Amino acid sequence: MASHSHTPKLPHSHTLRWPIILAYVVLTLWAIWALLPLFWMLTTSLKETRAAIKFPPEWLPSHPTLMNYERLFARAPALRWFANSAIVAIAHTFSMLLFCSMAGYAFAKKEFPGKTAIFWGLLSTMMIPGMVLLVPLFLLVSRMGLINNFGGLILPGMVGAFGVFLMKQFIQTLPGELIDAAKIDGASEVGVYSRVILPLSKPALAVLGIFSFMGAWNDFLWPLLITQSKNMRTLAVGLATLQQESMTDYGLLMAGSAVAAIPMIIVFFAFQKHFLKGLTIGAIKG
Amino acid sequence: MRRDSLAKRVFKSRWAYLFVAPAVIHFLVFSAYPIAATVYLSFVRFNLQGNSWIGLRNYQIALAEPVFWRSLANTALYTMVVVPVGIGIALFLSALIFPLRPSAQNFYKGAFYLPGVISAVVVSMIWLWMFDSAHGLLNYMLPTMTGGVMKPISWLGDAHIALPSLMFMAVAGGGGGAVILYLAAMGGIPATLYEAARIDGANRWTEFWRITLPLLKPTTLYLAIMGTIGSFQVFTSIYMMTRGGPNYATSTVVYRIYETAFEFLKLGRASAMALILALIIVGVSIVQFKVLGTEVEY
Amino acid sequence: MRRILILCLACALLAGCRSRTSDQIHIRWWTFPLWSGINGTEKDGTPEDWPRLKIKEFEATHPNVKVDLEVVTWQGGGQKLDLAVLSRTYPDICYLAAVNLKKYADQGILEPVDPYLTPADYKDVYPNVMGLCKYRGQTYLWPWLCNALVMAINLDIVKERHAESLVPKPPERSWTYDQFLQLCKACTYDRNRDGRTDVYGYALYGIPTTVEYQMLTLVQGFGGRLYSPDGTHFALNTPEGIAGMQFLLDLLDKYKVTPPGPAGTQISQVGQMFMNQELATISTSSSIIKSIKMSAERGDFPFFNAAIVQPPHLPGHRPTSLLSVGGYVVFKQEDKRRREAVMEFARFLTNEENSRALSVIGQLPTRKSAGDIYPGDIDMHVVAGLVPAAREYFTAAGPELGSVVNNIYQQIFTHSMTLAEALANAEKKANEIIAREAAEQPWRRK
Repeated sequence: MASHSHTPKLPHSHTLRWPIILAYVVLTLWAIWALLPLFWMLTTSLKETRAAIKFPPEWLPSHPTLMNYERLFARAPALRWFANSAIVAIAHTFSMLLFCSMAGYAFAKKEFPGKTAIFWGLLSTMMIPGMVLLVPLFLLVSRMGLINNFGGLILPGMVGAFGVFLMKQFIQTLPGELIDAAKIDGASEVGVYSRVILPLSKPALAVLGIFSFMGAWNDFLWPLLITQSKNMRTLAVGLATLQQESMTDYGLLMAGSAVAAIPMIIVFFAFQKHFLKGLTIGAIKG
Repeated sequence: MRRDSLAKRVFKSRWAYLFVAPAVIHFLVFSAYPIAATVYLSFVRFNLQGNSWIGLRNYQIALAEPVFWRSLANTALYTMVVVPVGIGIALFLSALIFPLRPSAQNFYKGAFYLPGVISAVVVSMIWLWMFDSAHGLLNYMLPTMTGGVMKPISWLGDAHIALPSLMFMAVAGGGGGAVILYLAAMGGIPATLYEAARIDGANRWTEFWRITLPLLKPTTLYLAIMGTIGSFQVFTSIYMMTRGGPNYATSTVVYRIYETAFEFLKLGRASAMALILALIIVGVSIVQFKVLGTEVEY
Repeated sequence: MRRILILCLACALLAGCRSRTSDQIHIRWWTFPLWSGINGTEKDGTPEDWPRLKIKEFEATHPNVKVDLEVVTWQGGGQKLDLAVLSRTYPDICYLAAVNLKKYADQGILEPVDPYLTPADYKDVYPNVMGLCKYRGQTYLWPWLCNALVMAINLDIVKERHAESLVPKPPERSWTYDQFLQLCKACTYDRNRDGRTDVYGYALYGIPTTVEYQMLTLVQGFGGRLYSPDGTHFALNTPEGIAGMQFLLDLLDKYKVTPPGPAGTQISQVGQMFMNQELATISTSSSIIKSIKMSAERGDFPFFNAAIVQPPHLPGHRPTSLLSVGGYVVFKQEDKRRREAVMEFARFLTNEENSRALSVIGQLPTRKSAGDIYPGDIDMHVVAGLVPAAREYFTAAGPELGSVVNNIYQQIFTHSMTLAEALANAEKKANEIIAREAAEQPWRRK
């Protein structure tokens, strides 16, 4: 199997210089465009609201202030919200990584009666607009006693069909010979899963981990509906409670967004370092 | 060889069942009941004082409403533009990033991923500001950069431009997740394949078309399916920015479902609309699987 | 044998004990963040402060009642309440605006309040206010705050343009449509001389909230009504209604005193423009003055002088205004004891003293006995003066009809339909919905 791209796949030759430069130019322009909203968010968080909606827009705050961040932490149990979001996101990510890879492996590499039916059954859960499922789901969850606690925040989302699908697609591309070889060496089913499939799926797991964490961290609607006390709220919901009147408090909103974004940036770089770089797997075919 | 009996096959596959068990159990507990309830509700007139069975009437009403068809058309158009263009852009960007030095790769990966850390609500607000007729960034940049040639555009106020504006917003959002996914998948393609192809005299283009692209099919299928499912259910941007207007130009099916369920409290009709949409999505997904779903293993 | 008897005795005693402690009534109270802190001025006040104070006061005088509070966010809060309703997990008492009554009453989950109102209560509240609290003859809302839709003028802009003479004079602050138009024209200009108009006289919007009042106030001054008094049909497609809507359209097309592209503008953006001093006038409620002050204190927007004036009227006619009412609804209770407790609490929350607390946010109390909570305040008196004759926004309209009305604006502002077409189309749709509701009769089930 290949080593991950430490070495470029293409030889460096002088005739290829200008496409590389062109690539850099295009990428840089696109990156600037993509980062624009983020930049705007950060600078707005340092402005007073009236400066935020000034026209023509000012790119850098003329009177930068930490006022919004102060308000954020002074008026609210922001730390508690942060912790809640962290607990929920971490638990969610863990369960997704474990259960989706298990199911994805089975769908990718195993044959069993009912496989197609079960797979499409799982997939179909994504195809019905969640809006209408909310009501019976909420009713169910309230009957299970999961309102306003971590159970209600974590359990309903523990396994997502999109994660199963992602892992299936990736594991599908792994050579079957690896599994056979491991079995010949006497590995158990669990062994094959943990010592062959999981390590080889690190890129997909990293991606799934990042997506899951982001999804859980930014989730707004479900935590809003299921939490009832101030201390149980997640960050996204808690920030919304600070919006009082019908007019948007842009400064505060952006400051909250910035604070909420930090863990995700950390998670991204952490996952990336561990899983996407320098992966060397012994080749079978030499 | 004669096929084993069903019972024998089930027993032989017991490990497979074990591995899918957590997912299936979770589905049975948290999805099966809500879906069943939705199907039931689609056949009743919902009222807390007592539901009354009205058979297919909800479906009839939904399908007879011109607004529903308009919403369906908008949703389909939105999906047909956003998904292919989004995947195309992601593929293009990934192809540009992949040959670069690792440090450059990481930088651009980060640059395209970062916009995704902002919640959908805040993204909508930022774009709402960008699209603002009087004070928005776009209407400020356009006349300034073209020396007054281009006049300010009513991005969300013009019935012909509103939906394209939202499409633009969806596509221009960086596509970070897709880029990350493609790069991860590209990393899994063995270098030996490229070396063998080069020995056979292939150039970069051929390499890309004949090796990279086909081997990325599983990822492309995933992005196509997920993108379609997501785009067919677009809601947050509509809710935050246009409320389906102007004059239903940006009305999408899920927005109508939301309105029917949560503003009119007509849960029965909303359930019927949701199931109609689900059927369409399932149909489209099946087609996508047929086209892109050939097994790839190397 | 003896042990069994002792066991039975113990159980009986325990059961007796439990029923005594279960004398406690738990009331679930949901409210929206109306103001922070107890007086609205505390620096670190939260929206929970005042409700918690009220709970303490009530529990002190009612020892067998415990109140659980939840302050629901504005964003998504309506959805949360709707979800609670749809899944039958609704609270016992909740703050609600009168226009939303039909939606919940039709589900049969609101407790009628009439048995708990006394003749003194009816005398204490204006009949039109009380009327908004009713739906199909039954009262469902404990009236607490009310407001009449008016207009606000940015006096600083007026001064800049030397147009002080055009501002209606106190104490009534009344003016005609022509005078309103003159002021708008005078105040629409290019402030920073960059070739674009920065300040406008008024702003139209195409994305209202679920219930559209504010532009409607301008329309109804011409004599048009949204619905017939008995609510059986749509009534805006009349000469008066057409004249009113045409006036709005003229503001956009003919006189150009309002920003272009209103079909994509949200009502919150209009409010923002006014606070940012880009609008000379705005349709609004009386709380705007307080909002300006509080914004300035928080540093969101700079302070500016504003005055409240009546909606413009046709010469020779009295001004009309639309009434809005907010209060508390009580959801259906299983037993009498609980119902009485919750009604007690509702009465407490809407009594004289707690009505006077409304001065924090610039709303008017519905109880005459609360007195004049804004002594000497000309602006608030203008509003208060309009309340007795303000027209009830038709409670039985419901959100489906509201959405039809909202679409008229979008159709005419994008010029995708002429005014005549849009109104005829709306009339057809609205009457269809009314007929369908009349046939289904969702309010009558059991």
